[in-house]
Amino acid sequence: MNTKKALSMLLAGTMAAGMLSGCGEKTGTDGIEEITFLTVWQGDSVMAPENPHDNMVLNKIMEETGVKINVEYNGVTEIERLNTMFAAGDFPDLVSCAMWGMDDTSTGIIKKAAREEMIMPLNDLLDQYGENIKASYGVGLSEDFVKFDLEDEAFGGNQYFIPAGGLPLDQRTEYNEGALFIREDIAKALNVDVNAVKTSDDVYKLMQQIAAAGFQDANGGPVIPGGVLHSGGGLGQYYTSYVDRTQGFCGLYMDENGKVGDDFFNPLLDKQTLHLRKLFAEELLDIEGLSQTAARAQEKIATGKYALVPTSWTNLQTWCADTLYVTNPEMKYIPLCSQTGLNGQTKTYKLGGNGGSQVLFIPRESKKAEAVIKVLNYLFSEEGTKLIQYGIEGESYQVCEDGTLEFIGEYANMNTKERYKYGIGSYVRLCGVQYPKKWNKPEALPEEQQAVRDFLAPDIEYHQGIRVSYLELSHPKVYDIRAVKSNSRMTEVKQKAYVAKTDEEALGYLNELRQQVLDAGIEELWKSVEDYMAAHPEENYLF
Amino acid sequence: MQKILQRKKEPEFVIEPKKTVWKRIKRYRWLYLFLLPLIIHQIVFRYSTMYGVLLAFKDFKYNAGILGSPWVGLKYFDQFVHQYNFWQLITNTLRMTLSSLIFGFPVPIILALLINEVNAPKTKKVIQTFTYLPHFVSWVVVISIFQNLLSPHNGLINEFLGKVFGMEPKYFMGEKQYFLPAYLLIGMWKEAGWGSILYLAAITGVNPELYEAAELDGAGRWRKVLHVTIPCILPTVVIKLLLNMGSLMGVGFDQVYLMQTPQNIDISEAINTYVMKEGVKQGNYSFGTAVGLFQSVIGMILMAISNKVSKTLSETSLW
Repeated sequence: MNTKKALSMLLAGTMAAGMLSGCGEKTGTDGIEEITFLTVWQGDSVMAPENPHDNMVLNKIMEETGVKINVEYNGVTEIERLNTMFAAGDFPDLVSCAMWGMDDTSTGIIKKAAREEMIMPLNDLLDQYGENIKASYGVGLSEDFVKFDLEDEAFGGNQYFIPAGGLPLDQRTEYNEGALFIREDIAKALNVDVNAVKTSDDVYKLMQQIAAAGFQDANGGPVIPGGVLHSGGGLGQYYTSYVDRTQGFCGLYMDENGKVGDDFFNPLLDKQTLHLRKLFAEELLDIEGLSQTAARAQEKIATGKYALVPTSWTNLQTWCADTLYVTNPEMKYIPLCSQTGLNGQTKTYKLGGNGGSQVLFIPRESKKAEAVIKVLNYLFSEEGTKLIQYGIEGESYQVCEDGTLEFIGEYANMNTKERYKYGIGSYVRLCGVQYPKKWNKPEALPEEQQAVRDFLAPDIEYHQGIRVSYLELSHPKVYDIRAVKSNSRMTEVKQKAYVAKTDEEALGYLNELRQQVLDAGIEELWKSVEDYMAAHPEENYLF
Repeated sequence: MQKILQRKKEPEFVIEPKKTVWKRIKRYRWLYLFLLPLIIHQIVFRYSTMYGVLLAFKDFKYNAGILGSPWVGLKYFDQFVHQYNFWQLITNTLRMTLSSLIFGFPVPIILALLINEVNAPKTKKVIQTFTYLPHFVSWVVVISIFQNLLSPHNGLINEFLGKVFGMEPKYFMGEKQYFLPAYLLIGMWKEAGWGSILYLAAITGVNPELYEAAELDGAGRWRKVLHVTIPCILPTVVIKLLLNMGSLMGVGFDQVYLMQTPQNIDISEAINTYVMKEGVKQGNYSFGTAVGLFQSVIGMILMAISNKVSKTLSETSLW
């Protein structure tokens, strides 16, 4: 009986202790203030230092600011994390997340939180302690993003968000490594001229030739002509001829009569959909591609299962360098030339400034806002940004005569992942303006990578103006309509259409959603945009 | 000396006064202490969070919280009932759960009966272990395994069917017509063994004298199963069936979500998966809660009706 008593007391006590162990707050020691920093970016945990409480970069930050940063990483999707954080009221002291602007979901969530006063306005704190933060505000960002997102009228003059990791336009390096890649042995066997496969129709004919020829993968199994990344990624490379590149800045388009409409109603979408439906129906694209995981897609690529792969050179090196390229070097992937757009468009049209940014914000409930701003102010200085990216001068890097920075000692031989162990690069979400051209030595790229960049070098035309999707924001129905036409819903409908049995069925899916969106009143949004444009003809509008 | 035979004093049976609740608790205090962590767990994680169903009737605002958000009544229930895919969700959910009930429910019972007929104890244990091991494997792993096995590209099953029967490869895990059979068969493979444990326990509780009596009457193995084993475990079967009726409006989320593809989404989108996508992922918590509550209420009504019917017909019931 005594043993029973003791056992049950022990069990009950252990369980109770287990339940209560999660309670309580961390308190700082030795005059160091501790803040909790949540990075919502999925995958950031790969940048975690070996010792998150004691590493070169963190120790320097504590020495300079008296603040210790405890980083929390996110393991679910970014949208989910943000939603549950605001709904549950479980807040860290500082949050980093994406704000890509316009109708981006993440942007919508954090702006809603700001309007509902869940985020702290920072004007006073920045005036007192944020000199460096203020200096970096808006650097490299497009004007419409600043005006309509960061300084939304609904915020009443309050600044809620701090753009981070800004890149001035003169520091941008434009290159392209992404394309449709073909297995070199297949290209040789079919006498493919990589410079001649430019249109979606050319790609289609090539895929038909590949299917007819009966090539094999590294395991002796049949090859699939068209590869797909996880969850249908990369499909855009197969229908570039049905994309009007001059109207790719936002989710609206203007037809030849000057009428504004949503991209989901664009007749080009029908052509894209029917083209992909044809490719799936003829088994030229991997039918599993729309729902396969990243691991499954990479496995297929690494065994040469796909004749064509829509990805980047860097990804292919990561997936194949130690696998396919070793066992079957003849199956190396080489790029086809950049595909053309509608009517043979070759230019790439870009916004003259970043249309979105990573941002930092402080939840309203935080009791350590002052400490947060002080440490951010330090990290946003040139010294702080160098610390985050390079470590400590004299210890991990030195400044060369030309002003560039280079790693020294054991750090010179490390790759980026190895430097994360020491905290170098781990806190990159907290830095201000970056100067890659000023600080980084010109990258000594592998010859092959440079050759790919030269081959795929884009012809870019920059444009400034207001992306017209912003003009919808002031309409009272915009969020209700966007709820009907959510990104996830549109993706689901499009993918159903790609695998429909007939063209009529495919178009039926698109038209069903279109009708629901029309019933929700989307034409009112379009009208409001047209009215604004008519009232302000002096502005430059981007579609 | 005459031995006086005295009747042994019979124990007196005294009717004790009704024990108070406190006295009973004190008598079994160590058992209650054992139960205490579980009770606290249930109170904290189940009962104290029940007020969250209010979300279904409110237009949730972050800054106001659940209690402070404005009341909208049945707005989200109305929205759900009138939306374009309401009947599709109900039909899909019922199709999956009724199929599970009809085809999947008897399988653990049959398995338990078969295992019970195995005489060699070691063999019995091995079979039991192998049959309930899949229960412990995560659905993510299970579906990945089957996606590889059933892949139209070099999947083992398609290779076998192609070589032996000359069949063209089929996308079993993707296409609409194969979804329901795949859902049922994979579910049975994973859960039948675990489900059979309950019935095996019930079977071992059957009085052996009943089997002896049946044998005396000339009953063979089959008749013993039919006339002794099954009637004895019938109350357990009925209770399990009643519990399953309560979850008629809810399919196994993990399995269905992982098996969804654009090809089969029209028949695989169930209420659970829809709530996850449109409710949780999009941050529409009020809507998601309303749909979940709708599902729970229907389930409760079905269970209550089934309980009543069962009580009337068989005197076996949950309450």
